[in-house]
Amino acid sequence: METKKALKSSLQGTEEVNYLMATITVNGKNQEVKLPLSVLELIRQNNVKQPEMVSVQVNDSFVNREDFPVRQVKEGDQIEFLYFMGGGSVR
Amino acid sequence: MIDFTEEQIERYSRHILLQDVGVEGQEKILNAKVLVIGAGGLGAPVALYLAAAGVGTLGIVDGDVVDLSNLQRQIIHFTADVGRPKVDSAREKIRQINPDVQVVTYPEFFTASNAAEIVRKYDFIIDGTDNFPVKFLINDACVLEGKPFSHGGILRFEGQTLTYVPGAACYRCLFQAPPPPNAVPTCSQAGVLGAIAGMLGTIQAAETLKYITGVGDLLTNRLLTFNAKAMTFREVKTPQNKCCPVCGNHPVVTELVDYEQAVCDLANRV
Repeated sequence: METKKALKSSLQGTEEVNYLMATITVNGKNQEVKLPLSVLELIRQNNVKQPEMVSVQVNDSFVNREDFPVRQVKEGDQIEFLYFMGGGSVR
Repeated sequence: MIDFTEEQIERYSRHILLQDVGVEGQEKILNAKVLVIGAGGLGAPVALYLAAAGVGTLGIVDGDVVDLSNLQRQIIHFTADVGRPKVDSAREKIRQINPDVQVVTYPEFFTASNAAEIVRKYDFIIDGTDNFPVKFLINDACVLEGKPFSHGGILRFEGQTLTYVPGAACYRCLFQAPPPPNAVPTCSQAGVLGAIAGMLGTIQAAETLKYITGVGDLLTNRLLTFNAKAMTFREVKTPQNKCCPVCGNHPVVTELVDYEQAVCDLANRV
């Protein structure tokens, strides 16, 4: 893990913000991500099509959809995005 | 105890030779009753392989007729079958492959009003259907009736499948509810490589035979997915979800429901 410091301006003045780099796996492939990071942000970063319908697993257990914005990703997490797949023909 | 004829011993010799199957396993297969819901892309290879294996009773559910565009992948139907009810076309080929197999046809769609009654008669159920409302219905019916089943889905170059047995993860453990109509592309919109149907359907047939004979490890509590473009197979562990709406600790799905169909599918059905 690498710690990087960055300066961020805000209306109140400047503040130091700490970033952590972390390595996670998404669908079996390694990804370097900047923490803090929520599951919802990770979905966006991965350009998931139809994010309102993807199912997410972190370390073999499912995350409830309502927790996507709050559940935090951490170093070493194994994330799986599961998609609907149904086949089909118009009758 | 079945008295095998000489012809049956010859017909099933390649099963009987397998130490894990033998005469006892073949007898189990001949006594088994399997329901195949959907005689389409997945149902076709499943039915063909289960007929070849000698599954004693095959139930086939499909309210559709054979369409020309089906023939690219629904290999139980031939050119001359276009316009015929799929269950009739399927029954005919099954009987030609293997007269030991009794075929029960249901020339209707699987709905909340017939689901429970139909699944009760079978030992194992195959989801070979092409829309999400009925995939969720099959899941719920099997969970509520305590019946094992194989879930399957394909699209473009990919497929995914899992096997449910009571106590293990069900489809709703992964996906809580059906997607809104038209939210997910169908094969008629996005296309599918025909052989993908065979890849997935045959896995479903293998799982069925393993369940019947008790051999090996079923795809329970895991989702097998493949991408045929890269020809890679992955397995995602999917333990039972305690919050599952139908099989979890506090189920909210306690009866069967027909979810809304995609608008374009409904319009074309009438």
